[in-house]
Amino acid sequence: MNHIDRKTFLRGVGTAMALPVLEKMFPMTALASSLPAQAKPVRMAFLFVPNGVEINHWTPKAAGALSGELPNILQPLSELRNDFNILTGLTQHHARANGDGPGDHARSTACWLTGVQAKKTAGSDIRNGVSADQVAAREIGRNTKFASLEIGCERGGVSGDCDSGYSCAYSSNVSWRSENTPVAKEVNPRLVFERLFGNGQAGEEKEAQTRRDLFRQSILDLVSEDASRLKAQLGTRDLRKLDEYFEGVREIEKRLQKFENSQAALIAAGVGKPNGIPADYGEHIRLMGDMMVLAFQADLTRVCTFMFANDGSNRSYHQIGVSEGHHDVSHHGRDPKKLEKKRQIDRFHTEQLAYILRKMKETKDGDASLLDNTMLVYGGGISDGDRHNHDNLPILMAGKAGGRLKTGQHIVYPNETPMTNLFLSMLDKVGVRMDKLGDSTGKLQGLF
Amino acid sequence: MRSKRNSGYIEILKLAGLAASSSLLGVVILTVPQTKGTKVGAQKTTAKKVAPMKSATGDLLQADLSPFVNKYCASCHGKTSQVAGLSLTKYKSLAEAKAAAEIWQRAASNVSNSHMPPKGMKMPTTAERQKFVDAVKRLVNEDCGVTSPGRVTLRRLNRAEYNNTIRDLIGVDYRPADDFPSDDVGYGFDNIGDVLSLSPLLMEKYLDAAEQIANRAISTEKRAPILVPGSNMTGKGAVTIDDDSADLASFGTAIATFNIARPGRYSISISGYQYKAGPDNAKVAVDVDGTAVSEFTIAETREKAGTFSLPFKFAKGKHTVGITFLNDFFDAKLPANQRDRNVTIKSVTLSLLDAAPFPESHLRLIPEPPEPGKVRAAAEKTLRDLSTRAYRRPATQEEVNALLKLYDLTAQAKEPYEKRIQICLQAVLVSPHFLFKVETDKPGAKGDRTLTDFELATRLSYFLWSSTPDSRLLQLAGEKKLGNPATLKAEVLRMLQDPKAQGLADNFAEQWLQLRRLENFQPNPEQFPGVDTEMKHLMASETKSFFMHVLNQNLPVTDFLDGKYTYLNARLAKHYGIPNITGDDLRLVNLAGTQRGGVLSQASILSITSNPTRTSPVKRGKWVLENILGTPPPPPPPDVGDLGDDGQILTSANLRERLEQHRKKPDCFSCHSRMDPIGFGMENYDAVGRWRTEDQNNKIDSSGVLPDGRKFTGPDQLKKILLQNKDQFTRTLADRLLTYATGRGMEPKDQCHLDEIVLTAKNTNFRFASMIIAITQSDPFRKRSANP
Repeated sequence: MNHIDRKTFLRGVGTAMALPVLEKMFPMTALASSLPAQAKPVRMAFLFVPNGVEINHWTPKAAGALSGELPNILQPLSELRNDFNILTGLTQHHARANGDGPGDHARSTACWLTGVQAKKTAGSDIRNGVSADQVAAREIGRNTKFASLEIGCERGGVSGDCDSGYSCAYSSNVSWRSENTPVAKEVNPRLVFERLFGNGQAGEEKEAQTRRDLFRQSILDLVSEDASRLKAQLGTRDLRKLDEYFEGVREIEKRLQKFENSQAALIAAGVGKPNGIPADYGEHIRLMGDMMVLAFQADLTRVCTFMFANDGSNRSYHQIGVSEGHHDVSHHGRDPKKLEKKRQIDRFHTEQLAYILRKMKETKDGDASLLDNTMLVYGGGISDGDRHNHDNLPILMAGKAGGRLKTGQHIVYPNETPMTNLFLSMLDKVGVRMDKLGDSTGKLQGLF
Repeated sequence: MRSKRNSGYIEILKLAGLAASSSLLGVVILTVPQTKGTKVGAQKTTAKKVAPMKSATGDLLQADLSPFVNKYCASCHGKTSQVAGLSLTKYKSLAEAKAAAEIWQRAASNVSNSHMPPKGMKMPTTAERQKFVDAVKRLVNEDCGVTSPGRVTLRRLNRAEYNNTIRDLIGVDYRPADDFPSDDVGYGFDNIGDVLSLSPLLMEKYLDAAEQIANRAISTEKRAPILVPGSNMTGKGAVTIDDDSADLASFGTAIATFNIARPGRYSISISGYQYKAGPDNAKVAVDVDGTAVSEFTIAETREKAGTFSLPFKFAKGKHTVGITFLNDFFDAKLPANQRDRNVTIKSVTLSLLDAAPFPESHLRLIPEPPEPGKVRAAAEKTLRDLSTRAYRRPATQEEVNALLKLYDLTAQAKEPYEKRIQICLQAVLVSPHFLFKVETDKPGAKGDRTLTDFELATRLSYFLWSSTPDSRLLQLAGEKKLGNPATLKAEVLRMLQDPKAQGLADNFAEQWLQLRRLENFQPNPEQFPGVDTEMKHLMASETKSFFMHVLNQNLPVTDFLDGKYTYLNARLAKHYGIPNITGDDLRLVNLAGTQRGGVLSQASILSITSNPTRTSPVKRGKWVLENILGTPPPPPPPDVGDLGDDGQILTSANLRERLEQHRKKPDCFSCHSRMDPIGFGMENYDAVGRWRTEDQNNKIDSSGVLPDGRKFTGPDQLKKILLQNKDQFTRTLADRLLTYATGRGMEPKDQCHLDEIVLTAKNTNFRFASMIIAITQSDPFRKRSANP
């Protein structure tokens, strides 16, 4: 296979060149081998942005087709307007205090995909719900090497409780595997790559690999027995920790037993490994987006959550001339200058989103594009960063879910429509039937 | 380095007039209660005995709490109005109120330091305040004598602990955990059992890291000499290959073939002998891959073979060594045993000459290649030692047998010995006994129990070193001596003098003082050029060195606030405007005569409490309330708005004006009247900690008035006020230390334990090491409750 410079693939190319390049890198024969061409799976992605958005520059003026000039923050997505919907009126009721006092950043992050009121605690007794992505991962994740992929650009909190008495576990994770266990995310693109495609054992001979897997299996057998013996001597809360251990072991075992990886190896060989976390934040987001696209393309997973930043993030955006911290700016107090800066930050984020969506659109997936075969939700759990309200959330939904989703619309729901209704509908489309998720009241109308 | 620190320590002790005896450091040993409810010991210090729960006119809630609440609190925190989401009237029974102990405690704390009720409301008398506070104490504690030690949830190693443990256990300089996902933080620290989760991603990383560590620790390089016996050679010409040799009768070459995996210089050793005949000894030529390299004479005969060696550098791959007989001789006239000169080659051996020495980590596990026939026994010993050190207690026979089973599997797979040990090492490193700090209970156990000596060794070493116990701790634990209070104290002092005590600065101090926030601090480069990554690193190092100084010299903890010394290098000194400091290394600098002293004047703390473009008196005040006074303000209600910066950069003066406006709002007053004045007192330090007397031509006003009316101007007077109540700061530090040491959040019942630690600190002039000893002697550290 010809060596193709990663940069050529990931960045420099315009649309015109991209398709032939992709075809050359990933011959259809290889892609086709994993799945019948006509039945490409539907992928699910959830992209999270913190601290609300400047909603006046987000919401289109009228319901209906996304025509004419889009609101300022959405303008970077203009050329993709037929590939997404804007959903207005969705609400996360359990992101509100409901008697728990302050802590909206942590609470709305925890609630974003669960629709559950997170228990207020800085430490012991963490309790939330299972998130929509993990509900999906349990079912459709069985078919792929990784049940789901969790990525982001900011590590978890570094000190202090993260928000008004809420543990950092809440404010840095949208993905929850069980009530008590958030799913850790990876923030270094190099490590995501290594995880997806293996760690430099390139050229390892088949026999050596088999041997290695055999030993790994034996090691896991041994330590599982260790853990089983330990069980009888532990208390209830300790057991929760040990259960996490068992689950981790089982995940690895599943991978050892089931998945052959020839196609992924091919893709890995063509792309090359990123070096680490880029200094430029925009490049970091785009590179993580690339990793998500690669994982979908190679069908290593069908479910991904991606946090551009943790909620309450106070990152400065020097690259666009905003030297104040994002959180400080989001508490704009209706100050026009701060609102303007908030708009700039929000637009910076949608510019990165545009890159990712274009990338997915340019990536062939069976007879359609990867974007066509995806349901991607972009947004956050706070509407206005100053008021900290959780109704009328800024939500964008991209992709056509394998042709099942109508796009190009601004759909206005009655305010206070549970956001979980959207998740229920999405889960339904990938064959996961649920009666209820969090505070859902039914499926969302008008989308599918 | 280490001895220097020791001698400094001893000198300080001498200065303090303390002999190195049981009264070393003047620590009062808290005697462990022998029976519940009573305390013994002459120097015992105990919290005030409190009255029973029942009072004459109904229970505590009806008699003491409710009247106060109804009179002073209910108008804002009652049934109809629930400011900050708080209602104090909703508790129907004493049991309900007790279940909400933390809320009551917060209320008592606010009432006690006059934050509540807010200005303008009906004010309780001092006696009424005291009565309420005492009632809450009774509600929470009942009786300190029976206070439970608490229960720590199974803790896994966090990233720092994992790295340090690998360093100390295996001896490889490799930090695999740097690539692990972040550890979740709870109660201000990243070592809290309840909060640390183990995601499948992390499990994957553990397995990968174990493989990498094993590969680095144990060398599988082929070093054993490669021997080709004559019987395995091939011949060219008149050569006979026998059962145990290659015989060269007249003319011909014996060829030995080698597959060189590791290129390098080898010694070629040829072993053989001649059948002597004629005047000369036999002569042979040696070639490598057909190219002649040497010739030699064989004088030895069959009775005793000779060896001839020469060095040769081999490339990787297949090579041949040929031996050619050069001087055949035959004379039939001579007696039978002297007539025919022949050569017999027994073997050709290649031994690596320039093999790197085995790494120390390798020799720890495989001190020497096991003797044939004793290989499995050697493995058993290695695996027992390894798992004992890794699990921080003696490995059971069952555990060793399981590892041996794995060993046997790798042996059957014909892996070399080193590889077998590598695989077993991997298993040890992903075992729950290694990854978790395991403390077990017998099924159905009830009540509290004292930790075993091994459990105690683990708690100690992860508290003081963020790492695994060393052999001395494990030995003392094995002898059941560690639990003895005198031994424990001596061990703490020994451990604090060890360089590994840097773990306390790296993990405790960094988190207590929130130094890790520096990483994300991005001051506006136009206003603050030169505050780059290196500078931020220097700032953190200064504070950590300062912390270690207080620890190593066993100075009073109040020095954290007003110690007139610090650690600077040339660059940092220049940042502060302190002259005559040269060089890159941080060194101890006397601050007498400067405007600095204590952490509140250090650039690290001053920066993390600033905005990118200006100082934030609010954040600075909040930081002091949280980390020094232990009275964190609640977060602002949503929707209150913020200071309008108007896009312009606020000067210190108009910032003060804005904040004064802000404080006028009733929603804001109660907290900001506590935070803002403290921050104003630090206004002489700019957003990156430089001293300033004016800001954009306006003179800095660093005066402030605390809610109780105390006034001050400038950082020195502020510090004096903060130190008027030494107990309060000491208690905050004790709370932070005990949280970190045990790995669990403090519960209302821990107040009794904290009372005792503070009292001990007081009795030892607030010396830091003495306080740490008191922590390690406290019940929450030494004991655990059974499964609730």
